[in-house]
Amino acid sequence: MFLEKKQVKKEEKIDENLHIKIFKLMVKARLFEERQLQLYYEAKIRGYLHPGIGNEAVEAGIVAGLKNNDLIYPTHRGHGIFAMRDADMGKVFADLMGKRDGYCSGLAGSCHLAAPQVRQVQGILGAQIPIATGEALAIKLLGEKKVVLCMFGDGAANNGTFHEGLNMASIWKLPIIFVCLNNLYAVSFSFHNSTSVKSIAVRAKGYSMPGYELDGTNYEKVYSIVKKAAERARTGQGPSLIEAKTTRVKGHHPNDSGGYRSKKEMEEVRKKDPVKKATRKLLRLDILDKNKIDDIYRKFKKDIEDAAAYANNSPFPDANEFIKSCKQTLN
Amino acid sequence: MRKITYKEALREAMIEEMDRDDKVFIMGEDIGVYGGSFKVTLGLLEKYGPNRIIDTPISENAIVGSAIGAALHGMRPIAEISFIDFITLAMDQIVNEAAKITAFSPDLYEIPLVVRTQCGTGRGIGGQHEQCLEAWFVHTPGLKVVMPSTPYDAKGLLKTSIRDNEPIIFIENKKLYSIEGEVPEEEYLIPLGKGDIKREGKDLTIISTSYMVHESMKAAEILEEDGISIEIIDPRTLVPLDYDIILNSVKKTGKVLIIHEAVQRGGIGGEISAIISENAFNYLTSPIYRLAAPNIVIPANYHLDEYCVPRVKDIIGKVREILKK
Repeated sequence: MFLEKKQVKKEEKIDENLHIKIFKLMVKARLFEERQLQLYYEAKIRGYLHPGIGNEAVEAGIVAGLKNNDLIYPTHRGHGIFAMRDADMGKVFADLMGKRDGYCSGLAGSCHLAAPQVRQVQGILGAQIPIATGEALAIKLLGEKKVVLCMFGDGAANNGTFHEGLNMASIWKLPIIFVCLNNLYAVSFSFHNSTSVKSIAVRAKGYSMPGYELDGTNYEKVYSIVKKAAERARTGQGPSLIEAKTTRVKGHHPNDSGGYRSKKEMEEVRKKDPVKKATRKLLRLDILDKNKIDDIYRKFKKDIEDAAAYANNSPFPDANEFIKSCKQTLN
Repeated sequence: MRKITYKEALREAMIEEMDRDDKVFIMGEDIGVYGGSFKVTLGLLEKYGPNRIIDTPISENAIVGSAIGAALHGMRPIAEISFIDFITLAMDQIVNEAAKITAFSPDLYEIPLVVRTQCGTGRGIGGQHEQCLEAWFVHTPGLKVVMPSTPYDAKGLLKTSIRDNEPIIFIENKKLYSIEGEVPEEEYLIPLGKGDIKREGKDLTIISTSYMVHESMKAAEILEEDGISIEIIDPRTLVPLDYDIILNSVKKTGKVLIIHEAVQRGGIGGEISAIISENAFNYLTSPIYRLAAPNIVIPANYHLDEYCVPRVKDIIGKVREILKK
């Protein structure tokens, strides 16, 4: 079961259209996140923001490898996956800016962002693992053919929720895929120093499920393994654990100067930038030329500017109305 | 009217709701073949099978967490945490997720979840199995807290809780399970936020919860022999709390004793006391008093158990002391 290397090599060939589709998802997410950072530096996004720049290949591979009605539990790091799943970027911007017209009426910010297309971010890292497992349980009890994909970081893989969730998913053969985005840092604490194993994927053995360790900056690999794991989940064979070794191009948050990573290390990180890698690949394979790539960028930039303007024009929630609208029991 | 035990009343409530709605299911430790640590779910596995009566590993965080996930997918889970002491292991899922997911995204999610658990001393099994921790949940916005004291209340409130769309902490008491009480054959529901006058009186109001309602009733009967008339109010649900029933009684008697099995410091007695003080101060003819467990760790010692919570004679003594002043 453990580290199914042969299967990793036998990748599904993906056609030109899928290459282009995935590339577009990655560009859209990258530009969306860069715009969020800009809004943060303009103090239009206040509170938390954890940039996921560098995760685009994992996220795009996930989105392309699943069906639209499959459920995705995101991490706190990066909201690119919301754009990839076609959540309304204006509404997402509005939530990030605390504006009334967000999916969450401006109450969720970055750390609890949610949309109909992506489940709610949990600010308690790893808390989503048992919750996603429970949603997979409901799917199984109801006899639906959906799959749940639960993302978390390498830091959260050291939380007890990881153990409890994976064990439960395994004993009940639930339709769930656990995806660890290993960017080698839990805030500032390195994976090397924080974790008992060289690869989170080896832990799959302890939960009797397949474990895959793969290059998370390679969207083809992610797509291929997510598809395989989804097929396994959908046909009642149970969960899988995927570890995507990814990169964190930015700091833990926008004000993190990242003194704990050396210059040399940062050079390596930037070399692995998945969007740049994908661009080089598509040019090399002659699937897209520079003009077409420019067109893609131009289109998304316009969409994102429109979305930011929508959020900018949305009002902040009225404090009195907010208190009145709270559904929690006050007395 | 027929009499059944508290335990049977709870079981009936779950059977009726599971028959009524196939989205209702139960998960927890040893709830299947074993029938639950206090046998509340006995026989349900045979009746409903393993897809609706789900035995779980010892994973409290994932029991509540996965129940939340199932609730997000339209199910109506009842998650059993066999001892409220173990709920600390699920505290993150209850406090940070169950209570908050809907608040952050009110238009996207509902969490119809009941966490059934039990508290209380009486077995000499010590402070990791006998605490009363309801105040923690009262202090957390986004949760409802239900604490029934009789078989009738237990059944009606559990049925309502299962149909409610917000997360509910439903706290039973190990000393209550074998207590018998009248429960009608026909279906009924009890709304959340409606307290109950367990005994009418005019000299002093006792506000008590869970097993302490029964101890208060015994004390009131003894005091009655001396011509002292005690009114006993059981709020039944701590969130929402029935202000009116408390304040109306206080306005009538002018004297209040609040009793709970949880430790006094930071307990719900302080909260109820403040509510009375803020809303009915001018009706009071004496200070508001509390009688609760001393602020100590319960030892694992059967003989010391009863000294760790208010006893009938403590209640009688306290009432006499208040009335003498």
